[in-house]
Amino acid sequence: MSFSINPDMAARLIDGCYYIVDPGNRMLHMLNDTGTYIYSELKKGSEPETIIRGLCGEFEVSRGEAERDMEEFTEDLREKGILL
Amino acid sequence: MSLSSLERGPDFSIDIAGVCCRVTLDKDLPGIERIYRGFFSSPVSPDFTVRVTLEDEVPAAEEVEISCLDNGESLKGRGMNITVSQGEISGEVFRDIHALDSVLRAAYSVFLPPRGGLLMHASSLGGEVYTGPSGSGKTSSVRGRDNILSDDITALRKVSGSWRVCSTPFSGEFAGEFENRSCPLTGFNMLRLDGDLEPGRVYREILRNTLFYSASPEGFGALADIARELSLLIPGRGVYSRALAGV
Repeated sequence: MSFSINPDMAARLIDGCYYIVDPGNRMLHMLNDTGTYIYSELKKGSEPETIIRGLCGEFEVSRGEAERDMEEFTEDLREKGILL
Repeated sequence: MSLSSLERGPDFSIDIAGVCCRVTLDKDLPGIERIYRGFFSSPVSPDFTVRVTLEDEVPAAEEVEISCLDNGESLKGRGMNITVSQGEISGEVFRDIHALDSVLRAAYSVFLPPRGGLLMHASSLGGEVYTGPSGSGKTSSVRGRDNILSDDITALRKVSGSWRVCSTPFSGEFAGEFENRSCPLTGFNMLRLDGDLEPGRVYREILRNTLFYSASPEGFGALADIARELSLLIPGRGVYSRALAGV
């Protein structure tokens, strides 16, 4: 798995949550705590394995849950064009 | 017709929020003096220009269609068929003051963000901004008050490090009544919402109620930066206009 952030999207961190504006369809996406954590790590260029381990530690979830969260979230962001 | 408008001819310059626009028309258009008289400015060194021909047939769709071009963006609809490029708008506009007004609103919505400002669907009482969707009570919130700064469309701009509320000529029932004025921005009143609002909610409401006739990622980036700064600096609260009327 490899991910890159779409540079056309305007992502801004406000009060601990990412808000992402899509100029193409004028949609504003708000990420929850988990989404903000994953997105921040992707922005830093972290590997999926590092993010999954980080999710287990930060949010006290099992590895299976972390993998599912990571997969669903990145798939959702790909569909929205936020990840390329 | 006043002497000043006779001398002005079909071209004129306006200043909104300290940003100057030079408008060049190919023929006279009635209504310019009435709508923009409080905002006329010197034609020297405009920040951007609007150079349009007035036509009898121009796309009239209510929604403006924005398309990317090699040299900028194309805007079609609401009586305009124009190209927005670096510092200039050119094209055709329906021969009507309201169509020209739509072009100028679009122009300022695009050219203010790179200059640290934006246009909002909002009215203002001094430094208090009342914003919300169409029909939420922006005009009702300020009608009858003696410190109305703007109605319907309001500009916000950072000047010398401080955010200011600026009047615009883009107003509904108060058209032509406002002067070019500004005062320090003190608060956002989000119509049809309740209580004190978190910065994230203020950010969403600012973006939701901002005019921006562009699909440019750079433009959206500038807008997002402005909205973020405002949401963290300026307090926001929900307010129902009916309750406000009793204040």
